[in-house]
Amino acid sequence: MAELAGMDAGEIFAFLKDVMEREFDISPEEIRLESDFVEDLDMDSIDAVDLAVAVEEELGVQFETDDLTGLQVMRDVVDLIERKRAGIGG
Amino acid sequence: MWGLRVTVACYRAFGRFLSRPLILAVVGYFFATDRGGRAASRAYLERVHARIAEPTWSPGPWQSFLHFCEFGLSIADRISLWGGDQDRFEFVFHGREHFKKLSEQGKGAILFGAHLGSFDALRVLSVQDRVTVNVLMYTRHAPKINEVFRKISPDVDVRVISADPDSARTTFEIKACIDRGEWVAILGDRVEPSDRNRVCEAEFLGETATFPEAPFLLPVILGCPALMILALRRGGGVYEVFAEPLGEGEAGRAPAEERGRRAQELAASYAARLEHYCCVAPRQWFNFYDFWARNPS
Repeated sequence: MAELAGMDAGEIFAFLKDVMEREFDISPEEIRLESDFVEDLDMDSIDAVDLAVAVEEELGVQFETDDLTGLQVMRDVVDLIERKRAGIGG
Repeated sequence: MWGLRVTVACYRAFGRFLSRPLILAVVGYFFATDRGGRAASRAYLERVHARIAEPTWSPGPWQSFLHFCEFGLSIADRISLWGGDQDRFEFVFHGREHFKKLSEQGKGAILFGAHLGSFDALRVLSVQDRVTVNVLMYTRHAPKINEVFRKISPDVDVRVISADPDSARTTFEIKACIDRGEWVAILGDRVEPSDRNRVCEAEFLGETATFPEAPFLLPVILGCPALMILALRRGGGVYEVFAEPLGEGEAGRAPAEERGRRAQELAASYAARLEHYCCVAPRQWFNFYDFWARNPS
């Protein structure tokens, strides 16, 4: 399991790119903070839940439905994980 | 929504003896006017007939009419059941131990049903096993339907989840249900327009048919058990409920490279068992369109 507490936004983004490459075979070069999940990365709702479960397992966080709904670009996920990290940190 | 309220109100006002002839009259109308439905019924019955070792019936207009009638009677039973007349029904379970095990462990699971027989055994499971059952439906009216259901049967914890093709929210809701140890019921034998980008194929009644892939990916991604549940109408208010695990139900979350294969295996296993139960109750499969068409509509 990756250690979320010590990660900054850049490291979270790098971690996500690594997950996306492993889980969906998407090259890290294709992924930018502004990449849209549907338009740019060709992901659908099943991929989205797949990504959520992978991040939960690897970072030890728990997402709620409302956390996940409305995420559109990679930056949204980085921001969400940062908020979760802040929650973990107290 | 008003239709559901009015139907339940009519049932309560006039009772089942008046409701049934009305429903059969409606069925007769549809049988007379729905040419495509009649043709689909006959083609399906011919396929089932060919798979049964010693059939006691032959496909033809009469059997198709009985097929339509069975659909009407199934609706009558649903109205009766949801109208608060549950004491008139008996659900005889086969494979109940699979659900007992899940509820004892507090495990979430995906339950695969079909447009075969009735899906209402879930009500009984919800009450007897004290577990929340969520039913995925293609409707935008889930909150209102849930409200009607709660008023009719406050002791039954069956909730409807709207399948919204334009949002990932539905999939996240399913995940949340599984995380809470609840059961999510999905009908796996119909490709909805929103499923078109994710389909898989499996042998069903002698030919390759198209099934939605997403429902079969869910247990693989979420790492939860998958079970099949079907309730076949036996007459006199008796339903036989068949429950069984599907595939490697408790194999956990699959690695990325295995997910497609595992989902395909689940779909094939589902199609094989569905075929078996179609042969057990041929006239209770309610997909009145060309199921084997390459682009079903």
